[in-house]
Amino acid sequence: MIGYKRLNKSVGIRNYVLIMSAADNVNPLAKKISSQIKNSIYLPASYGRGQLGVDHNNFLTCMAGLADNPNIFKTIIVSMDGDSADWIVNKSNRKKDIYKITFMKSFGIKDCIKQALFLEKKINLEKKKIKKVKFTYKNLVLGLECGGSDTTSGLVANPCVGIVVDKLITNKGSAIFSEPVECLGGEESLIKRIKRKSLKKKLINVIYKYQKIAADNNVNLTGINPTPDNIRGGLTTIEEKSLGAISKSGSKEIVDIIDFGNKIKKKGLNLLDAPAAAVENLTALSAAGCQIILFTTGGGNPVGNPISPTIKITANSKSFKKFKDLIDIDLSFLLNSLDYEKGSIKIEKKINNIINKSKTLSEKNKFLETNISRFGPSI
Amino acid sequence: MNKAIKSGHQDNVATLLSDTKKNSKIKIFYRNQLIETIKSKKLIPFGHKIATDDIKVNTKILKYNESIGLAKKNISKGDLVHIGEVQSKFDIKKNDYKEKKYKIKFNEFKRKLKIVLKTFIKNKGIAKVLENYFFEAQLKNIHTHGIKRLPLIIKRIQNNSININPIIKKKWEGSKLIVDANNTFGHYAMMLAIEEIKKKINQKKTISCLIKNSTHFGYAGYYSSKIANLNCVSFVTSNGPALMAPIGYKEPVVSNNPLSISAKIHKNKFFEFDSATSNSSRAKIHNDISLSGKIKKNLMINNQGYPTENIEDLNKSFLMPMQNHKGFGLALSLEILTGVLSNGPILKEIKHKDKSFKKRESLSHFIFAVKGNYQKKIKNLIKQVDNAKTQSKVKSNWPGQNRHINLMKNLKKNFFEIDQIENDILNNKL
Repeated sequence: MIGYKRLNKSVGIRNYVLIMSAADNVNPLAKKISSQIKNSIYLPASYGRGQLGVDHNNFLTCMAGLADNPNIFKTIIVSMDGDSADWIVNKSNRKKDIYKITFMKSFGIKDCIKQALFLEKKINLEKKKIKKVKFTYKNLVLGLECGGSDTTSGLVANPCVGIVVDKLITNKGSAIFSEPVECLGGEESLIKRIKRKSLKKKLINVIYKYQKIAADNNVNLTGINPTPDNIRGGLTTIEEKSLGAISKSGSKEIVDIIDFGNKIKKKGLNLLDAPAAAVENLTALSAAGCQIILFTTGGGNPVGNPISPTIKITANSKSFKKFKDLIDIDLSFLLNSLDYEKGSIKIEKKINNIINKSKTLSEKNKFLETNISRFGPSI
Repeated sequence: MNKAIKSGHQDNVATLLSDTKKNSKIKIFYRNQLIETIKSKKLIPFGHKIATDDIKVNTKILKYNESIGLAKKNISKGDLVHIGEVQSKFDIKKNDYKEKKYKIKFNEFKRKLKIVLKTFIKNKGIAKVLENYFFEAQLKNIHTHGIKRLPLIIKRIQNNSININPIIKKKWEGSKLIVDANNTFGHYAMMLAIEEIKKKINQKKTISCLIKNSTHFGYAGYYSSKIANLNCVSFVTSNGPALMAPIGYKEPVVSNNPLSISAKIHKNKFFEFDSATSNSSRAKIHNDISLSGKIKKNLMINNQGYPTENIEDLNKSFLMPMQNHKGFGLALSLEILTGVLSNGPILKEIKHKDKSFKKRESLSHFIFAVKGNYQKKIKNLIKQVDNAKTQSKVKSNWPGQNRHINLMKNLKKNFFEIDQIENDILNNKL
């Protein structure tokens, strides 16, 4: 596999320039700038102003995490006031790779674009110096997500992904699975895969946190998770969905639990604490440092992440036929044999392909979105 | 031919690999091996589950060899198994969840209750009062103050903290009746006082009654409605051991003193306002915890003076007054009507039940009864409440209405539905 070496020794599989809004008030400006710069990704801010406490911190660490993702070559943070950009830069590990454009210090929109084009020239010069390097699973962080699940997800797609993860971990790579709410009912088998006592405790807290949120709002999980589309797809309870979802994490030891918005710290299999909704979850996975994400779906969830190429996998043949332009891998032929090894080989091939030459369907069709989770109000 | 696959060898459901009509033959596979052929009893879509065994209500539904929930009802082999049939253990609303219920006829209930009471209480007068009280509490579905309280009461009798052979002193001072209950059952002392009030109310028209050295009397509405039945408007309150203080206090100061106001609407139908002065009772909080594993918001205050929802705090926490300082003020006012007026112990002087239940509580109760010819007016009051405009989902409701509805419903049925705990109590398996 071939990738781009970053100053902090991580390896990217894409070489993007990120045009990031520091707050929602400059989203239009950042969008305009991005349209002028080739091969750039526009990353809008959801909120960003008037946020406080946990939400403010989550927003900053998450934005910094996205800028630090190995797939990003350079980041230009567009802000109104400068301070909001500084707060993000302060949380970054790759401060040298970040440039800033401040609206209030400029002479207007045209001037901002002029500054951006100047930065682009500078970035292009540096791009020529960049080293393309060979790398192995050791340098790969794989994100795992499932969305629009049905019973085929748990029967075929997720167990196949699980085998890929096991191989990756055996070869000293890393993987991050998430959506702790979708561990409810499967927590016993997960606990057995943790060595440290304190981490076991954390796991239970993280999993039950989401049930508590539902209970505090006096609602049943059934109907929210499993969602109505999960239920139409044959999934009955959160227990059933969880037991299917967990299988995508394979069978290896869980070495760490990452708090929302934070980056991966330990090599190996990690659990990320983030809500299950796909866009929020993909954003958190990308901010945690995943270069690539495997996304299993049953009924066909269309979205991908703009920074971390997202490979869509299904074992539902109807969905694959309907959404051929969005789903990359069809595993429905395995429903009879349940030959997960065969499925895992197909997925691994695709991963290599996406890293080395081709684009995912969500990249090709620009079905890409980000959104940072929020837990409280703004002021 | 339709196919379905099992994900674990212990599973009692299998997942369909095609849309399947009713009465189709379905081949069930596990790891590529055909296990059996089943006839479907319902239409089952692709990806949905079919029962491969008869599954009894409340037993586990197994997929991947693990429980994905409990059966809400009896499911027979070949049935669809989906949200109508399976209860997730992580859902909170247990409306559909059928707990084991025992049907018991009234006379059978009374017979068993009598046996239990007789075993522990030799005093026939007291046993009769308790029997009537518990029967009515069950009729009104007041389970927190029903026979579930019996084990606690029996513990107290065994430890001699309730006197079952009391010498009760009664004394009239004008229209004031003074009772020393000699540490007997609050229920018994109250009913004796009400007997006395019954004798004198036509003559005195207004009676206030102070009872001291009594114990817990159950739910206050029982007594206020008994007095209202004498064509009175009545007020009943009691004090108790310190359980409650507002936010900021590090220890409880006053009990969540209950108060009840009753008036007779017509035969067997009472306006019955009955409330404690805390946001919730301990019994309800414990019930919440057993259902959802947590303490709800604004019910408890920890020993640092902060509201808490942390279960670990439970033993070092006390109750939050209703509306915080307002409920605190109200509880203290009721303390004046009870402990202060009867010259009994007040606030922290009242002995809290300790682990051995050996200390005598010495509570005070207060009754106020006013004879009146108010029937027309109270019916008018009820009518106005009933006719008040409400949101479509909200029904107008006057105090005591639900209890009355429960009572009439249960009387019609002529039997109770009781749960496992209540059944064990009645069968003396405490």
